[in-house]
Amino acid sequence: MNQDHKKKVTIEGLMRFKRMEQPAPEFWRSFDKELRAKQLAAIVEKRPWWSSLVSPFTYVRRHPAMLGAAAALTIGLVSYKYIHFSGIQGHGLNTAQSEAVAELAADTPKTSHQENVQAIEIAHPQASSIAQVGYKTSKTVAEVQDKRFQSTGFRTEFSDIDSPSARSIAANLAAARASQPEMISHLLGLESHLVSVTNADYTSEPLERVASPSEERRARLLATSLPSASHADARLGSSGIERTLSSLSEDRLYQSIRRYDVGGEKISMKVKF
Amino acid sequence: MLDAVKVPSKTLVASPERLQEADQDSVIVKQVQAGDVAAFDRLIIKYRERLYGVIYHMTSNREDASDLTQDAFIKAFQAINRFQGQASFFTWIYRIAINSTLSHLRKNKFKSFLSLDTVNSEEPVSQELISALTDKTGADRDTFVHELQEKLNEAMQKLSIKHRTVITLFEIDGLSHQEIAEVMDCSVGTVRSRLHYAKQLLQAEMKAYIS
Repeated sequence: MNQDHKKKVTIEGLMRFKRMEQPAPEFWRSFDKELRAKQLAAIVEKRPWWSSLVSPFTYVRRHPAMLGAAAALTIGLVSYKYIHFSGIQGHGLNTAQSEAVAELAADTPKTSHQENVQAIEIAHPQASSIAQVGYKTSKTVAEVQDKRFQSTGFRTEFSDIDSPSARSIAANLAAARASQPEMISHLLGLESHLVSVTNADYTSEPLERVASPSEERRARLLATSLPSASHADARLGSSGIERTLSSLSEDRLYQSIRRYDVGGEKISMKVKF
Repeated sequence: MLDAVKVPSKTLVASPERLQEADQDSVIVKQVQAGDVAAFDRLIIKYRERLYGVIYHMTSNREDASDLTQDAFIKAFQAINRFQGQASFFTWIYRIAINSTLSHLRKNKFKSFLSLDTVNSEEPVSQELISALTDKTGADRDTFVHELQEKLNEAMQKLSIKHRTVITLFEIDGLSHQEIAEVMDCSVGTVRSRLHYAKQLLQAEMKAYIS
């Protein structure tokens, strides 16, 4: 070796010399071909079963803020809906009750309601105002229900009953309606009559609603005689006769009976007022 | 004399050019993440020679270097959707390549053998070094170059894996201390220390050619 030149060679110089070790240009052609094949194999390669489990968590790790915001929004919407419905229930009517009231309000004709109010108004002016409020409440609930049906865009008979028990009751009612429509309409008519009577009863004193022993006896007597009496005088309805008879005292009732006739299974009774 | 030779530096760390490159890489990576698989080819063409060079000088085996470089690109391609852009793509793929190479070297610690590329003796750097070391020409010159290449690679293989990595990244690939620290996940002081020690060891191994 040339000793004069050797002193001028450094490690850095040797490293630069080493840097000149380079592959031939043909090398890169085969390199690219092999790399392409490996890349395609990597794309086609079946991924392990756990990679599908890892990928969602990768997304979560990359977008934690977005996922948190979505979760908060969902919780907010659910909470709002819950509070909204509990607020409606907090006004004194739960969903099932409001549904029942709305159904009664829809089933009861307006004319009959007006008649009831008039009748109550004659007896107790204060009670009529309470009945009016009750009617308005049921009407408002029915309107709200109708609006909710319209806003959701589909109306089925039991679409917005929230309580499972109320839903089952409504379903049973519908089934009964389908099987025995006459009986159900009769029962619903009685129910509406009872509602109006109950409204009137609530206006009276509690002691007045307790039946006296004499009235119980009269009721037992009438229970046997009332069918024939109503049959004998078809012009009077059973409710009219009952109302008339209930206004009589026990002595006056005995004095009013003029004649008894017994024929076959019928007992006819003539009463003169 | 050799020190005075101006070598086109590959070090672009923290320079405007390097930052511009990082921005370009970021755009390409986003294209790949959006499903443009062909855009990844641009990254391959851009970095294949540098990555291959680093791995080759660490392993001193061109077949291993070729395989490890391809594997590094495949790993990067498969994990491109997990790349968040916190580091530059350059640093990220270097880290993949270095870690793969270190793992390979640890596994084949006692099975390594040299498989060297040809030295481009026509380059000015090579010519000046050869003329500084010998006056030989023709076949004797080629034999001397081959002998020097083997000695140099054997000396490199005598270094520990970490020291070899540091001196390769700094002296051959031209990365800065900071970049090496990022790639190797260690402190800059550690990089400087390893670099100094590696140079001392190499100097001892190559003393016949240096002094």
